[in-house]
Amino acid sequence: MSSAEIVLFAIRGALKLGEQARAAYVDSTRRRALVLPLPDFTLGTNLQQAVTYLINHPLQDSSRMHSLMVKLNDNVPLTEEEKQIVVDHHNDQLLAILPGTSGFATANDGSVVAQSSLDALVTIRQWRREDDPTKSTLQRIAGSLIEIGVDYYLEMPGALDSDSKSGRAVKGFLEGLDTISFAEESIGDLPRKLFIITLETLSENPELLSDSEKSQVLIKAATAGIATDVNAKILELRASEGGANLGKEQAIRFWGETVFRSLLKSTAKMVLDNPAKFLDVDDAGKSALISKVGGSFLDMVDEIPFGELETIFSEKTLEAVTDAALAAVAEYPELVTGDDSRLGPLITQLAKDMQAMDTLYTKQSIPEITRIVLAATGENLELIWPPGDEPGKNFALLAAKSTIEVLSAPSPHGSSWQLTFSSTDFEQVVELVVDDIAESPVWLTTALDEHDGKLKPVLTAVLASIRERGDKKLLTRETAVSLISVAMHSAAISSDFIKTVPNRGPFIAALVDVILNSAFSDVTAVSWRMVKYEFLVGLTDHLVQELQDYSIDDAKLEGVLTAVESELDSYAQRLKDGGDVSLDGLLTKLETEIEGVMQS
Amino acid sequence: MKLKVTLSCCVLFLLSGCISNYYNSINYVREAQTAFNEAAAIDNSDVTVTLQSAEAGYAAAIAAVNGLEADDEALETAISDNLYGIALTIKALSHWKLRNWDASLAAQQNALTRYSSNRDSLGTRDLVLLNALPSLIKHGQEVSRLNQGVSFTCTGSVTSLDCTEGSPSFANVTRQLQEALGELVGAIESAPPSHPVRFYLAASAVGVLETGLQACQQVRLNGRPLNESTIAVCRDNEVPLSETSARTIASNLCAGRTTDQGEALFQVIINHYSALLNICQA
Repeated sequence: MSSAEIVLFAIRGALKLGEQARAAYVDSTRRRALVLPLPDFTLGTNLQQAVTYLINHPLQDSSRMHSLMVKLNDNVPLTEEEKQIVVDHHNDQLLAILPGTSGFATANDGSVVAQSSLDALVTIRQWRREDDPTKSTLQRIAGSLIEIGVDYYLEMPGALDSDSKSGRAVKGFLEGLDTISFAEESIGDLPRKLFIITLETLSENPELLSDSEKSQVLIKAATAGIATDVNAKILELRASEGGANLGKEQAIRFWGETVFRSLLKSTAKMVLDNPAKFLDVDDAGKSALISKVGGSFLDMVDEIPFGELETIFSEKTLEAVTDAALAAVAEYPELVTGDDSRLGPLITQLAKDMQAMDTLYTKQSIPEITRIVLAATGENLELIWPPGDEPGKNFALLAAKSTIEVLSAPSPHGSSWQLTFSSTDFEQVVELVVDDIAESPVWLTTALDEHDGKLKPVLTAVLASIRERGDKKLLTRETAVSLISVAMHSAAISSDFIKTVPNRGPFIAALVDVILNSAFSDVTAVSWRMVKYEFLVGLTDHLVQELQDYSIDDAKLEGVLTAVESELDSYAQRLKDGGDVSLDGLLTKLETEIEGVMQS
Repeated sequence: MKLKVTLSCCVLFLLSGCISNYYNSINYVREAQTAFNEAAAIDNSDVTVTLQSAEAGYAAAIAAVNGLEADDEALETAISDNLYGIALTIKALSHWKLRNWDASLAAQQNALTRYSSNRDSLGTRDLVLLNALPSLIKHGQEVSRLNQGVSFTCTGSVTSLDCTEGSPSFANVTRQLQEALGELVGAIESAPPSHPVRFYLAASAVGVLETGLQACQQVRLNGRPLNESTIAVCRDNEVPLSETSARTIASNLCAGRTTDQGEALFQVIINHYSALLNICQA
């Protein structure tokens, strides 16, 4: 740093500190307490006071006082001696009472209240503590010190060697902070924590330094974006609650730190994995992408109660979601650019909808479901979320919601299979369903039609078969989830599978029902062989593969089911009889039977 | 390196010159606050021998505010920093205690007019005090009259004296005190709940009550029998409170009882007003 730079730095630093120090001094003067003088009046006892008191209290003395009170009552003037007797009597009575009063003390000078006590009572502050509009000195000065520190690093390249890769990255961070006037803001020690996170992330993710100049822009955008958004959230909170709420403000800052860490790590991966797509965007665009993604996740504090966010999102899951969001905006920058950012409202809607379901497992699934929806949206924006549609009409979100609603519904009373699905189960089925609708526009419109969507009825029917036929001890959740997945995938492959078979419901549900009915026909002999993951899922999948090659007339649906039912019953009977059976042999026979039905 | 240190020192030296002017307005106000606080502490101690010191303190506080007003640059800064309202409040209160009634009202009016469109900038305590000041002045004027040993104009026979008419009459004094009391109760109610200024005003209201008793005593002790209407005024003056006013004063005095000192002071102030005590205990 040159001498001139030192002078400029010193002036800037001194002025910044000086301004805030003076502002703190003004605040301190404004809130300084005043000792207020009481109006001029005599606190000591005079005759009138004594008489007024004695009229309202029983006299302890005898005839002399009674005669004096009668004289007073008759407006007969008292002699000086008599007046003194009345005052003394009053004082005696008061002294007898006051020692029993909590906190009463006679001061050294004989007065009944100490001067220091009186001073304390009439030392009046300007505002009630909760109303004081001035800032604390620490708040003002600490903020300025950070500003000066930021200036120092910006002006002292040697300190961090801003020409080095790490120096550039740190400089990006400092430049991000430099855009905010901390002395006037409410973000506490967030800058310090963000700085530590930056250094940690740089050491753990050296890929962030592969193109240090462009990384510098990204880090600056992340820093400025998060710090500004956290500050705005806190000010918003204060306005709505009419004052500071330290617990909630701390929660916002903590969530801001978590989002910042994920943002940096995801940015690092993006730089490494897809440099052409991400880094070739101009600096302003890149900044918008990064800060808007961070801001969108920060908005979750509005939807998910304080204290739950950090339990729902681990660092790892938030990172996965951020990856998906960054990938989506890299592919479709219009998600965050322009006047109306679409990403933030979508994430908020997701959190809101998942919160509304309010079951333990749906809350746990928020991160993964968010990732799945963002990933699908980022792969085919025009199909999944046509321009102009509200966040609630994002097809991936609709599919995820429908799927979870069916899977999380309580099993009907008397169901044979009553196991509850876990969050992992939800996520597995949702991912398959969302992937399928993203790949098949026809299935998407059929499945999620506003008035006659097939997704929910088909899924409900398949699950109903499982609940009715399955045995909770023999049918595992894993097998049930796989059966559901195969069934729902079939619906995306061919519309034949969702055709309605009279008295049986959707064809694929009826097929699953037939298979399970045979498998659980005899627990000891048949289920021993048939109720296995490989058998049930393998058989269902094979039949779906086999049937998808045909175009099945409505008239032949029942025939197929009957043929399958018949062959499976024979197979089960052979198992009961101890006959020789094999899965391959069964599959071959089923193929033959199905072919026969189709050619009939 | 040596050059850098020298240059930095020069910068600080130059800045220190600016800073001293920069703080002038604050220093005037703080000087006034300090002088006023010291004077009030002496004043409240009620020790006659030091009254002179209290008056000197109030005069020093007024001088500091006058100094601010004479320094255009400092005054401008004090106004922009919202410090001038504090200075005017101190000036008004100091003049009140020095019994310069007109000067006190002038400072009070200046503050309220200057901040008429932005009352919050005055600060809660100062705004409440400025609004209560006319009633404190009214009370102060009656205390002065009584302390000067003014004889009430009384008429009638020597066996049945009527002190309710004429000027100054006992009834006039009572009326002034009643008005002051009513205004003080209004000021208490205008302060935010639990603000300590409420306790101060309640204690001041008790001071007004005490003055009423003093007036009554002065009438009673003139050594001559009073007629019925004068006795009636006197009786009214002994308990000159409406129930609402009594409750306002009592509840705010009670609020000051949360500390041992508050309890002790309360016992002293309240000992003649069993009605207030009953309300408080209820």
